[in-house]
Amino acid sequence: MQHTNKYILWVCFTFLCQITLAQESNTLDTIQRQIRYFAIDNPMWLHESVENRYTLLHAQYGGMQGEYRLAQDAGKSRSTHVNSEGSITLKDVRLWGRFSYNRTLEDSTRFGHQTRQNPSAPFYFASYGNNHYVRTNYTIQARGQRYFDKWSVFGGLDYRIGDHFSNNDPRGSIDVIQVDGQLGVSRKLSEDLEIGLEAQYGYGQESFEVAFKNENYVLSPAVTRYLNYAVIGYGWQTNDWLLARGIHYQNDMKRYGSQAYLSYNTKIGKFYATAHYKQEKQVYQQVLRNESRNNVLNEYAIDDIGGDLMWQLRRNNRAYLVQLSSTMRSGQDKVVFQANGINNFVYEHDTHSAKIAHTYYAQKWQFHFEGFAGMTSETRQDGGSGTLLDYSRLDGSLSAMATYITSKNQQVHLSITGLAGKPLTVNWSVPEINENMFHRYVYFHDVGYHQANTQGARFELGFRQPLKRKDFVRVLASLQTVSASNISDLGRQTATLPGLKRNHFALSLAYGF
Amino acid sequence: MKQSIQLVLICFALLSVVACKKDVAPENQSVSIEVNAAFGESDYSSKLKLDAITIQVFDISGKEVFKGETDAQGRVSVPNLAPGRYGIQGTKTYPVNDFNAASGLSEEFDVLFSSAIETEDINLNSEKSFSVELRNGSYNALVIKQIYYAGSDANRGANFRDHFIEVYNNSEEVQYADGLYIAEAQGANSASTTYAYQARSGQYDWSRSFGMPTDINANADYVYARTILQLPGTGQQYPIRAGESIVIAATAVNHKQPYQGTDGVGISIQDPELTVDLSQTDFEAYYTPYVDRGRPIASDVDNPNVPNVIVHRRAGNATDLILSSNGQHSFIIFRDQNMGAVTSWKSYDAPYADGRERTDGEFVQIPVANIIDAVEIQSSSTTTRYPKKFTAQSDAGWIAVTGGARSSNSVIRKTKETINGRRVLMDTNNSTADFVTIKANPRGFAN
Repeated sequence: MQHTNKYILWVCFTFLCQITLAQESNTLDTIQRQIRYFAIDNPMWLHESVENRYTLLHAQYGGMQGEYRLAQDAGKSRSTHVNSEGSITLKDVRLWGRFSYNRTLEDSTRFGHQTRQNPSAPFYFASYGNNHYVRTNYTIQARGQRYFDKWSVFGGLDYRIGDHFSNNDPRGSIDVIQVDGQLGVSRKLSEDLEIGLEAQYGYGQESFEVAFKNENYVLSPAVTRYLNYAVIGYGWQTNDWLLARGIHYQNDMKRYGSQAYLSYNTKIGKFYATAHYKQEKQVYQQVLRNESRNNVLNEYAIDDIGGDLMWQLRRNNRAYLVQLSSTMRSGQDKVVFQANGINNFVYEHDTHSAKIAHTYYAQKWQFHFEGFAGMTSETRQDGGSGTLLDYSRLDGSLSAMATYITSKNQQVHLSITGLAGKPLTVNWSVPEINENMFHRYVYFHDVGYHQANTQGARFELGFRQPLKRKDFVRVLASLQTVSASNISDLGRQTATLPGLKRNHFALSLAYGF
Repeated sequence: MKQSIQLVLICFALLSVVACKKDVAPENQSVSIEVNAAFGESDYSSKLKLDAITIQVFDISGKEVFKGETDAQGRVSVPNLAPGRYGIQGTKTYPVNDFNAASGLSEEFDVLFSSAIETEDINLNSEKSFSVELRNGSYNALVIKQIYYAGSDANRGANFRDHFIEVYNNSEEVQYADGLYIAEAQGANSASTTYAYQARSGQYDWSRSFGMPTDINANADYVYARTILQLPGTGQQYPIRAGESIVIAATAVNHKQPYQGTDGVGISIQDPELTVDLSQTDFEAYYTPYVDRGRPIASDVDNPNVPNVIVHRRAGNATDLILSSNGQHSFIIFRDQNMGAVTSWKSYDAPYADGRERTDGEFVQIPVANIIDAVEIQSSSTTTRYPKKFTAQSDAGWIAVTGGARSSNSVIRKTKETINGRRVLMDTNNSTADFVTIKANPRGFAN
């Protein structure tokens, strides 16, 4: 059994985490930490899976660059994250909170003034010149749970404000505020079985404006890289949108949702299950202050159904974790201005993933193995122009991490991960008669991106130094490189094709107590 | 361990089942449309074929998104057009031989037909079938409405004294007469060995005029004027309202009554019915200040109430605006954009076959692109045919006044339709179809 565990790596279908924030690699509690963050996302298990008391201060500097990316992604970015989080128990209430600050500098971001937090927006401003974008986000999160005998009440609040701007013409400026709250109730049906139900409500607003330092650009419809377009749908129309129409709009969002929880403790480990349904409604409109009326541009509704299934077991000196996740999102818009509310854009995004992790604790060594596999499928369909992008991909990774614990209880670890991705199906079509700037700058580039086979590797090196009491300091460096192949010319008019490499790096420093 | 694996796989299988959802298609769809091309003028529609007409569709920014050719019925399908606003236009260039063979005309150059760009909103609920009307040449707001070049009886009428030209605003917006040029176009009226002619039309081959540049198309792109008049005004002094006209008289007097000439001698009229009253015209051609050799003509008096035109070029030593009552000259109105100062306009002689050096520079070269309207006048005698001075780009046909010289008749545009009380005159760029003869009647109408 030991041999098989060491040598046989289980790979089901898993999901490749495209994380820019490197996961904490404290080998002693990698699985434990994953469960902790799972409980923060699903607070019915806050009491049980989040430590009684801990504090972590974390700073990270990282970046990515390379031309194997989506057309609207940045060619190069550098980001700084600083966050502090911790948990505390007051009376019987387990509380957890986090404050995080993130600042990202992006280069060569083009054809979309967007926040990156709403990737299927059916209306946005764009121009094909390259922008230097600066994004700053502040997030405050809080979670809490209290047990009353067999019952518990749990909840959470997330508050985020963001400021995105590009500091060269055309100057996009986006202000974001998002508030999400959740409140739930759980009951222990028996010693081992617990069920819960939670209601979620959130609202937010993204407010967009494009301006120019050079006045000529805002008045002239000459086709230059400064010309501001309004992109409607997924390629239906890409029309100049100049000063006369007001180069600003806001996206008012409202979210409702509910989630069901179930956990079951058995001799062979603990099972966790969640199932959720969320609905978000977005209203894109121009609020015309002088005339005090609203010009509604688009109404977009996204449904999200999904669930998680997790199993964990700690036995002797081994720990196992298996996590299955599934999310299915579907969105439909209504183009209110100029089209009487007709539904033009249909969006579907499904991800199914499985992750399996195994840790083996020995005296001076720890070994941690992980396998991810995921299937992502997405459909974007634009009715007016007949633009269709329908793809599904399989991505996987296998990682092995070895940690050496010194006599002074310092830890040194090295981790190696292999990454691979392959498209399963890619269907695309757009009649040539309807090709416009959007197709030339975004669509064909993205089709090429999704058609590629990828392979890559990630290396991590970390060092943990214990300090007095239970304090510690941890330093981590990671480097990831992904290369793509099989990107073919589609035979249509496109400004760019994706490149063949994408690299990530991150340096982080954490202090915990 | 095995149990847990089985459980995991079962759960995953369940998730996969949930993943199979029905596909939803968007409501909005692209639209297929049909474009039908036809000729605006019945004369062409009976003679010229409808196939191979190029239909272009332009998007809202003017970029071409579709180009196709019509079938034998003049139809073409445009599939899968995204809903939006588009411009549709039909064009066809007829090779000159095909055009001449089909229409029976004697053009020298290929003939271009085009339609106005029709702007249409195309979506699921709109029309799916559109038509374009092809016409040749270009269309403008101001047109030459009436030309009284025949004059009246030499003894009993006013002879050549009562000539006039009438210009009409055929659009629905105010136009301004300020600065408008009126010219007589010169061309060969007979054939001889002295000059060089174009092969098919029989017109002068202006490219062989002495000093003509070789890098221009001297025959297709220019006409040659013997008389150039310009209306005065600073820009908006002389408005012409929609559906109204201005009359430019050779001499602005009431020719139905006797009047005194500049030499003091009375000018009488025997039969006033043969002539017209031009005392209320908008402009007159008073040549006396320009006559530099010999004596001015006594009948050319200056009406102090009628503004005088500016005479930039007199034909030879003309002493008044005396039009050719035999119809030997045709008429154009034009504006001078991109032409520079009048004094800089180039002029040439008729092309001598022997290429001799001639620098009299009798005829001023006017670009066809500047011509607003042109009317080809033809001999009223059926035994005489003047070669056309204009290509189909300016006027595909011609008109000859019934009764000929001294008939008291003028040629005038027919009325096409009346919209809200405003007359729209026929303008198919073909005088054969557009003009008829009436008894000269300034500001009058044919029908």
